[in-house]
Amino acid sequence: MTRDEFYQHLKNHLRTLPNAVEDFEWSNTDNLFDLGLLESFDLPQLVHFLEELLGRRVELRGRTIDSFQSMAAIYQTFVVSDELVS
Amino acid sequence: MLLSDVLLQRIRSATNSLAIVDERESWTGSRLLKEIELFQQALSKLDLRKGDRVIVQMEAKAAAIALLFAIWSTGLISVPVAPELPDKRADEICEKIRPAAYACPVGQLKEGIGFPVVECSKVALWRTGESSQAECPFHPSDPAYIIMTSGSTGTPKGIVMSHGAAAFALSKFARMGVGAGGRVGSISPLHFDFSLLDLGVAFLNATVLVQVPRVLAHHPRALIDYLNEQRISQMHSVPSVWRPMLGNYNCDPVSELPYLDTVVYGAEGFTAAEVQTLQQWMPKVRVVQAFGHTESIGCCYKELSRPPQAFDGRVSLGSAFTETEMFVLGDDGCTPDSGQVGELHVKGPHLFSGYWRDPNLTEERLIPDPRTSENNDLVFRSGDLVLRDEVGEFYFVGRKDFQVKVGGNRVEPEEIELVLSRDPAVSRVHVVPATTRSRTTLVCFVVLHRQIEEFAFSARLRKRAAEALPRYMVPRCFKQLDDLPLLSNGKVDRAKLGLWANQIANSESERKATR
Repeated sequence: MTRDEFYQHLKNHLRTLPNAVEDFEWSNTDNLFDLGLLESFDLPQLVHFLEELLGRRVELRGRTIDSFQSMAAIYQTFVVSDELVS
Repeated sequence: MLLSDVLLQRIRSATNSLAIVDERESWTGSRLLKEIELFQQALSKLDLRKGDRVIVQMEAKAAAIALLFAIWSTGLISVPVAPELPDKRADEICEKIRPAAYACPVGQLKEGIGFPVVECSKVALWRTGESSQAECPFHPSDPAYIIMTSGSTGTPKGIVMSHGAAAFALSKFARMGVGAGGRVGSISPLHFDFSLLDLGVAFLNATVLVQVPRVLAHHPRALIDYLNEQRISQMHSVPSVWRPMLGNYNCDPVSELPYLDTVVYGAEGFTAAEVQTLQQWMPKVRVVQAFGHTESIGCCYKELSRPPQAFDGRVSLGSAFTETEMFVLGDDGCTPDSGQVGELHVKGPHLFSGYWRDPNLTEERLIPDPRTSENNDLVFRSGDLVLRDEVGEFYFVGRKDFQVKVGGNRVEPEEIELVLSRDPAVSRVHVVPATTRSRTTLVCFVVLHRQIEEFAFSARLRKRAAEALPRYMVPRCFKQLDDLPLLSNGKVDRAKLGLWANQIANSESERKATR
């Protein structure tokens, strides 16, 4: 999956969360928490989504909630870094 | 005795035993004592004086715990704050507390702080201001730490706990015990005093404290794996850590959590039905509820029966620790009959010393015992509305003020309202809690001077809130109204706003479920 495809899938998921507004656009580096698109309550679902999308378990050890702060951070943490490790 | 001496007593007598574990470190008692000594030396390089405040902006890990002990043991006062705190909020806390020193992980040190930095165990420490005035001999009533919480006047308030009060409360909580060879799991951050309860229960029972990474609270499978890997026998947390597992996570704890024998929860409540679900889900696990306020760490705990003793769906809080008292007074100053609601008052050596540099609020909350004029004992007016049943058990009903708990964190909606009202477009603003599926979120209702497109105004206010407030205080939803609903006396109809908030939260929840 390319980076852009990942962002598109992730964006689609974020649009299903309670605060999403249909026509609102955000950038890959925008802070999802500050925009209210993501809350800590949403993280279990987001982690589940990432595991389904990536077809593997995502590793949370050594990570903090800031690993989820933007789409770019999520990609870097759970796709790039994790693939380098595996 | 200093709080550090009380908590380290049993560690000192078994220095070869494991004392504290985090994601990366496993320290024996002797290693912990050595690290404390290193931090004491580092602090001495900053030339601090007894009574100086040290802000600690760190995750709850072994090094942070060693630093806290070093702070307490040298007569300094720790002020833990959230690692993710917005800069604006951190500045506000510094303005209020006027710390003499600051500590954070070396990796998170910002450039250009302008002060010489001392490094110790990958922690950066630096002076930030003037020292306290005078040196004087230690007394148990000296402050050990200050917990910052939301304040209804628009700025955070600091709850000051003395060495004596904290040691007393923790010694009482420690009596809940930990099984032989047990390991206590702690997932609360340092700025949340539940973490101190975990520390006290573990160390005073000569057992191991295991720091569970906070992020695992968001992944039931990863949390279960960590609990097993660390052989955690007693897990301490707010209920929201367990709720995702109780709700829909497919796990058989009997086979998947073989080491766990006790669940301790606090800071917010499970309903009686949730406790029963938890007990059915984990039939061999004892469930202990801790109840109280940061103003005393806590005032009681109760090992829940099966099913739990309940009144109208509410779980019994238990009764006060020995040498302390919990009592209820009605608006008329008299003790209400059983089943009638009144305000909970707490009395005992575990009470806080006051709110940092806020004599008015202190005087309002720490009052002479209203039942007698015969002594000078102070009583904490908690603001909690409770009732007692016929056998004298307490049950939490609500709050006298507007304070709510979000994920176990105390929130004064007025503080959020004040931050948002600074936006020039805002005419009137009210923040109210909404509950959906046992989860409390905040909904903000706003009347603007002029109409703004809905998302633009939401984004604008959310940004303002996120820059100034901890994340748990940022409202989930912002709704624009033409006017606020009013009661016949002209006051805002908060009950109606609460109803609307619940409707909004639940409709969003449904919308999400159907997408």
